[in-house]
Amino acid sequence: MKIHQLVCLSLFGIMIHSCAYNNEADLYPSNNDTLDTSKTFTYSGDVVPILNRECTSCHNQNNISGGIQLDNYDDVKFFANNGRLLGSIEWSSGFSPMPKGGPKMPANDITRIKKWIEGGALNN
Amino acid sequence: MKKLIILLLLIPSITSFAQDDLLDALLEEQKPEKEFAAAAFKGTRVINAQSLENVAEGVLDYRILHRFGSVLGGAQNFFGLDQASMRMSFDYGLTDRLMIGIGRSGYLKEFDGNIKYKLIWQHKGKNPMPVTVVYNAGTVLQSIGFVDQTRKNLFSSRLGYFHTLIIGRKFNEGISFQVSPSVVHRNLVTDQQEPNDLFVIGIGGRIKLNKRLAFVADYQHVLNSDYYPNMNNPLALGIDIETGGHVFQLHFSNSTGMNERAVLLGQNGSWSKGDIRFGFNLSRVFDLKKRI
Repeated sequence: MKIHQLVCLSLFGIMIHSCAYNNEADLYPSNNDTLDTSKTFTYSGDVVPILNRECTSCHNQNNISGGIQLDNYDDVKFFANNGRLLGSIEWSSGFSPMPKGGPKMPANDITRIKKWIEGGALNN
Repeated sequence: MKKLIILLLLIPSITSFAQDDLLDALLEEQKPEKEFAAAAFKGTRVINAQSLENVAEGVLDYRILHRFGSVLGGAQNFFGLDQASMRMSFDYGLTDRLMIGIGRSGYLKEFDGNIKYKLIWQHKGKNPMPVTVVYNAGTVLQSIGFVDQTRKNLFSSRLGYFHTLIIGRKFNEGISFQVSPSVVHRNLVTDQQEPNDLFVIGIGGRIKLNKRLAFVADYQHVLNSDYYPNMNNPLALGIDIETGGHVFQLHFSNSTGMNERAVLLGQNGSWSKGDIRFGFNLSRVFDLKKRI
């Protein structure tokens, strides 16, 4: 067998070996539990993980898409208070729907951010 | 005597005929049976999408790709040029038909590797073949940390795969066109409704403007995009500038991502709203195989 055929076969083997059909909702069912909205929602515990997953890849210090930066408290607070953060993630009319090109964020995550803003958008 | 003179005069012309015949025969022998189409595109990528072309055997192609920020960033962000996202890759030709490549993108810190094989090669001559068919397959590995470190994260969740069949033709020296159906698979998606497999149909073309310049364009359309109501399919328009060993591709596109997964799902902007970005691909080839 020629060397290049061997290389091809091995690479192809690696590729199909770890092919999976997973989704987060099934893999991590605890995340789908009914959200307890009476608790206090915090910036560090609730908001930052969501922003890091959904927003900061495009809205960071080095890549300020649309002039919006969401990787520090002051900027996040600014966009939380002027309504653009919630308007965008809730896909309200008049706002650019975010995450851009992707699906709407999970309802629980939108609620977490909404409750944090309603609680005063504190740096907690 | 007269006859002898005529004969002597004729000899050189006969021999010259014979020489011509011999030369023709020699040329015919040297003429390849199959004349393969070359340089349908100037590089291994049209702009975002893989092209019909492979690098030749023993040749290493070092590519640097840049995508800047949205032009909507305005003058303060120098119309996006203040923000840059980069990918660099190495493609190497194991044979004239088979190439392997690796790359790394800054966006989502993704590594990718691919194999590209020319199944059918357009040629003239004996049993002519009107099209080139290329199979390209690869893996994308997201190395950015998992957001939720407390849950049990799987390594497979970082991986995505792509398979593309590129069917195209170099119509003449100036015009090449290709169609490329592909499947992009992600091991982990958000919920049951989000498809793990995206089915994509791509088109790409090149029109040569002069010896050094060519207009290039590519577009990819996701067929099962119901889950993403705001999805913008990637469209890129640009020009190729050839300068000796380098090929510059300057272009405008609506995508930030530069590998097969990210180009579709990388938060693409909308052309109709002017949310596009400038970018360039730079290619430099090195011949690693000693040629006689």
